Amino acid sequence: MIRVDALVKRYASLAAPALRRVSFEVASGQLVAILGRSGAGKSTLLRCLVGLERFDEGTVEVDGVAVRAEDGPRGLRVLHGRVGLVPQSLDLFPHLSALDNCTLAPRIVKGERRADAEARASRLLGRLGLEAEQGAYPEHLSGGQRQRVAIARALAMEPRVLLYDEPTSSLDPSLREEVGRTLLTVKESGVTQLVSTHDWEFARSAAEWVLVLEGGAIVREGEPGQIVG
Amino acid sequence: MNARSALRALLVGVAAAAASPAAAAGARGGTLQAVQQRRELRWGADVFGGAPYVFQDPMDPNHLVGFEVELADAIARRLGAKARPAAGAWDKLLDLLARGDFDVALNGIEVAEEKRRVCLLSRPYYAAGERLSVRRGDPGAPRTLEAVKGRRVGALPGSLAQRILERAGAVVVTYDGGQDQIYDDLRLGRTDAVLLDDPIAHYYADVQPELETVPGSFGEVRYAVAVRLGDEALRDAIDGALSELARTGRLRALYQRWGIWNAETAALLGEPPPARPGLAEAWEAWRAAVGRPPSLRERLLVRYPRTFGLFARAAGLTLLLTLSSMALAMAVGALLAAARRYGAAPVRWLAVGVIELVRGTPLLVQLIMIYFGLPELGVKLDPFVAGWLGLGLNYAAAEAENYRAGLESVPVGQGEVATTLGLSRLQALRHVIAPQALRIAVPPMTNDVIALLKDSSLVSLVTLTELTKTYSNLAASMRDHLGLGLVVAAWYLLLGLPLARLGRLAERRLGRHLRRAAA
Repeated sequence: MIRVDALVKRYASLAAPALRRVSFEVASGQLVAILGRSGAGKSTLLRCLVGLERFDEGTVEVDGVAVRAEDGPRGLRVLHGRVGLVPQSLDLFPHLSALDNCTLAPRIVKGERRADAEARASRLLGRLGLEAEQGAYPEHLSGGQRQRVAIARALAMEPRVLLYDEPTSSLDPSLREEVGRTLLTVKESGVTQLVSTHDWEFARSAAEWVLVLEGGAIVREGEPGQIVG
Repeated sequence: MNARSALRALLVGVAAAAASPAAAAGARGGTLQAVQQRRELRWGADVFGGAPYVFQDPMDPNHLVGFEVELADAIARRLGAKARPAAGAWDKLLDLLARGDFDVALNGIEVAEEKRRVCLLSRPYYAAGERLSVRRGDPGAPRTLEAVKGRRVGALPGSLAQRILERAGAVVVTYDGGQDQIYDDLRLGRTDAVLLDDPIAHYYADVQPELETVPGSFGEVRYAVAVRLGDEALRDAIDGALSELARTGRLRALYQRWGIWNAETAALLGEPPPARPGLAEAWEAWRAAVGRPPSLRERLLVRYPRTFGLFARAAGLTLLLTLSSMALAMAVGALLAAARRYGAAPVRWLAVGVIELVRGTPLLVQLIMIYFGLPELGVKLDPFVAGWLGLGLNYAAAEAENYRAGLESVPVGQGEVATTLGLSRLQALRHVIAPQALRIAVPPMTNDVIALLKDSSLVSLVTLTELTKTYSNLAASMRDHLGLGLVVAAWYLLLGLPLARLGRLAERRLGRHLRRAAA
């Protein structure tokens, strides 16, 4: 479960706030799309939820653990590991194999033994259809494969919430369905998923619920069928 | 070459003038006692082209020979000690003495009033005329003091000869050391004459048929032993030893053996002037060894093999210095780069300031400041430590910039993803960013190791006899610059090529994720 309450984010360089009192709630295991044009504030919202960006007002709560604006930069740390991110640019670790991309954080942050971390990462990669690619370096994988490695890397930390930043933008349009199927696979594990996208078509086909972000505020929300572009 | 040596002389002069009082004060009273306690007299000299004073035996460079070697032995014996030579550049011997690197300086040090400000001088032990050498059969050769006006004349820096020439209006060309090179330049027409002390002219000009020495003396210079200010007891003991050696005729015998017994010295020691030169066996041996270049066969089979031990030891020192300095440079460079990229504003400015200061000033200046300047503040470093620090800190600036370039090549997203996965900044740096940055930094680092290997030659300034210094010493005493130059080049390649190979291996290992075969 993730609950956002009256979130405000201002940048010193901009006159208007990037986020103005954004509030919403997503129940555990739900798959929600945040729809909006570029500049609507999608990326800023995601950066705040994942703990990369401080916010000026409001609260973010993940499964009972709340971070308030006044908690300062240290407060954001409770989000790290608890909220996973699949960045638009993926940012796989190029010097590590697919498997090692997935075992690095569990080993270093949680102190898992290598064998345990590898067994779990291997199962994750297998579930995402990457059995054969575990030993490959990111450089040698296709765009779709890389994206699934990035998802597996985030899931390896067993986050309560997983955020995707424009998952279809860097892929061939024909792969859109594949991404949708991947999200459903992930959904089976019970992780709450938030997908930021500007792609109406994709949001409608993949998500259970859609939030529409405009000018830093949520202007509409509803089931995919009810939202019209 | 000339500008460099002038700068060097100036800086050393400035550094040493300021450093000497402190060092002298530290040694006050005790040097004679110390010499007698450890039963060893450390005497400083330049072995670079120092025949007949102090030089490596051209037939077997592992041995140091020369009339001053024998003189130092004789003096030390009378002090109840053994003589142990210590190497230093000739025009810096008094600075090194003041610094405390050895007990006395004994190497053709001229008696001159201004030296009494920085050291004590013993009674003179030798007097030499200044001899003018010219090319044989050169019709335009200057043969009088009046004729040198406006002509290019070679001399040693800081010598009486230089002052005589400057007063006469000559264009004086001074050399860092190698007396051989001074006469080579005359022979090759780069200078018109050379004015140097009698013994030098005898050993370097008289053995070359292309050169001749103009009869008569152009001035007289006297040599004395220099001790630190405040060491009157040691100076008096040395005076006593010299008087006894003069009285018993041992000095005369020594000079005769080396073929440098002359009227000036006879007058100095109160003996009748020499009648006819007798057999000077040491001079004959020198002439036989260097008068004509040895055949290639003799060089390859006899002379070069004898240099093996000296070169091997020097190569060991060069390698040790290179590797340890590079380790220091990498450690300090990493800290500077991290401070510059991740530090708070004041830390960042400090790092940038240090990098620009170190990178923007010559290594030579830094070495002089560390070795001759720091004693002023009471910090007297061992030569190896001084060389290691100088090289290491100088290269740290270069390494810092390499690492910065590496760090900046890693996309910001890498660190952000690591943060969202729960890694701390240090963990992200170590496991995610550094391995990628290193791949970018390794090729310039390999370059720097090789450059460091070559720059390590500058530490001869702090009296370390590494490869280049060994080469220049040997080339001067064996009078063989080309052949030995190839030998030392081979030694440098022997050290440098494996280092370059190591760099390429590291590069391949860090870049293995980019190769097709890896998958």
